[in-house]
Amino acid sequence: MIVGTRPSMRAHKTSFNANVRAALSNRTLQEALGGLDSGLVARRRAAVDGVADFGALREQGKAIRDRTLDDLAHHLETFERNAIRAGSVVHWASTALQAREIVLGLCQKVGARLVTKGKSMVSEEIALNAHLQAAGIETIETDLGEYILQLRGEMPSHIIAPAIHLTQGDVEDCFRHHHTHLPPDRQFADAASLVAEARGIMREKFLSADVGITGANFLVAETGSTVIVTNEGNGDLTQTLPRLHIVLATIEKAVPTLADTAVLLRLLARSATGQDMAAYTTFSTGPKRIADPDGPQECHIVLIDNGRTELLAGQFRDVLRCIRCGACMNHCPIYQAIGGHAYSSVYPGPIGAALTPALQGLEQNRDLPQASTFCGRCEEVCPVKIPLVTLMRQWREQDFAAGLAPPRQRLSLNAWSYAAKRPRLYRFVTRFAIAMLGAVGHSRGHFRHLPFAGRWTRARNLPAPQGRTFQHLWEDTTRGVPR
Amino acid sequence: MSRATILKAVRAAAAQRRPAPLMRQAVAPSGLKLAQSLLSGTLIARLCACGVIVERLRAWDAVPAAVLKVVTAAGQPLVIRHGADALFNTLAWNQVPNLQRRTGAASREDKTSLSRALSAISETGTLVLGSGPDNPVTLSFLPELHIVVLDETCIFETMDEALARVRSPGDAPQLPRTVNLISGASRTGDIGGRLVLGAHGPRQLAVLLVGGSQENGASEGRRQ
Repeated sequence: MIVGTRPSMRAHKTSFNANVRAALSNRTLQEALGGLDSGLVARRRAAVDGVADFGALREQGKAIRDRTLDDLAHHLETFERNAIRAGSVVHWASTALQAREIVLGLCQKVGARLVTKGKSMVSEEIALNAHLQAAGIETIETDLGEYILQLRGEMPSHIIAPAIHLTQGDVEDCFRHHHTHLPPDRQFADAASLVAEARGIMREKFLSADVGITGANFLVAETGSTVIVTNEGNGDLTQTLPRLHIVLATIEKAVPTLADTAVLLRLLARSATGQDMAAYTTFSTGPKRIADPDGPQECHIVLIDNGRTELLAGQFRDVLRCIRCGACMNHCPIYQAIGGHAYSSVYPGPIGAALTPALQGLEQNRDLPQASTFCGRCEEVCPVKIPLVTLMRQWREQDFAAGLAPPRQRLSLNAWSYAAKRPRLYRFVTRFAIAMLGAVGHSRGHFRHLPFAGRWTRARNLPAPQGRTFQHLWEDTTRGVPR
Repeated sequence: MSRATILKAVRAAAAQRRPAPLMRQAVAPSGLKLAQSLLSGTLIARLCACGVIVERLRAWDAVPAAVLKVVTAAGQPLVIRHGADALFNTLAWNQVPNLQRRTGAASREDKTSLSRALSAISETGTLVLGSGPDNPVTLSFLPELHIVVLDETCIFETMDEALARVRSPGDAPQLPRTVNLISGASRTGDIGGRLVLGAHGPRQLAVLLVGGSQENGASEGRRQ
């Protein structure tokens, strides 16, 4: 497949290895990530156990997404027709640049000075905030986590819990630093007092914004509705109070019917936060109607491609089933160890490893599909059964075929593959190596240093083998056993 | 033009593949209609687990007194706002002369709002509200305390059934401008992973469940 590069998606990229080293030695980050297993992971387990047959539900969700992608043009046209019938204006954008220009144009048309934004990963993907701010339009993130990151000048480190890498202390420091209009000696007794401060500031923004921008979890074709899911209610205030509501959605978000949407909603919150449903799930259909006392006067929906049609035609199509729950990253041992920022990708974790190389090019993102143990936990929890391990393996194959790997890595892989295809040679070499290591390491039981494995032994000891290979032992135990 | 380019590319991608076999449409988990008391019980349990205040009332007559009780317990001023829903005009508000009522969309001054849910989903503990003059959508998000009345006979097991109550029948269903599925008060976990209520929307959600519920009769009082 042809992989296009979209340099606008990321300002700069540092080395993945350097990021990993920094993340592993960052104590606050490690403290923040330490809560994942007992938090999101455990809560998902409990929520899933509360459903009679979650496995069948996942199967249904997968089928709905596959069926939608098979006939996506039809569902998009149906969505467009029904959205227009409800009074919305539908825009189409092939690229991030076009999407940014459409949004900026709409904001400028109404003379917008202040824009509030609900949480939207696609807006990160198209780098919308910088574009609006450069045009002199103040753009405020209203999701609390996103707001904190905006103040700190950071990217989200998780697709549903964007500030998961921060502790309460980090947030307190951030608020003291930025909210300079408030008394410097004010006390923050607990997380609630920080939330209360942000609530007060955000209220004014909600009520005075000219334009509200949200993403969409789903686009319901049969009704022309856009669906958002939040716990804070920020998305609803964002899309209700300003006179203009703009919805950003990539084209694969279409879902044929309300009944299909219901199935996906039964999967989404349980997989994401371990709630049966998030506090607020909202279906919006068009702008304020004649008799309505509130709501936006205009509703504009921007349907964005930005690489999706290429994905649809290629071998990585299954990633388009994704409903952005974040379960794959919550359950990933790599993500749990390094957090989201180390990936330098809008979408971190396994879904990012499968998606980002397609959106931004493999060459600049070749580390992402390598950052997996292939343990398969991500696949086990994915609510729409995306074969994440297979997709990451396909990226590794493309990487190798394109000769992107460093020479030493290529050399060792070639050597291994040479031996692996010659069983006698393989057996001889491994028996010799294991016997040697067994003999040398026998007394201590482990190695502190080992030639060619310095990187491994720098962080931990290598257990010494007991002297015989698995194949060797297998031969012994099965000798004389009738087949 | 982007529209034509995108749709052409989508069609070209689809033409290369054999479509996935058609699966049966999404269906309700059971297909059996559960007993009303079981639906109510499950709904109440789920709502309470999410920190929602639930009061069971035997009849609509009891709504005004229950509203006053919830407003007072929350320490909010004795003023509520609700929409043009005719239901509210039939209630005996003269029983609670201290409680002032206003109608229309919510503003920043409103501390307490009153809505009627169109239906509810017992499986997930979710209220279904539709916007319009009867229930301006701001009522659900601007005030600090949101009180929702729900007719017990409008509780269903699944989202499909509950949504069927708010959509028009047929192949091109119409919905209220916003359909709000509400499963608790506004909340966030964004600060150190701790759950805090009252992020941007209501700090408290209270449900007045109205139905001649057999076994227990009158209000069971607050359950939390």
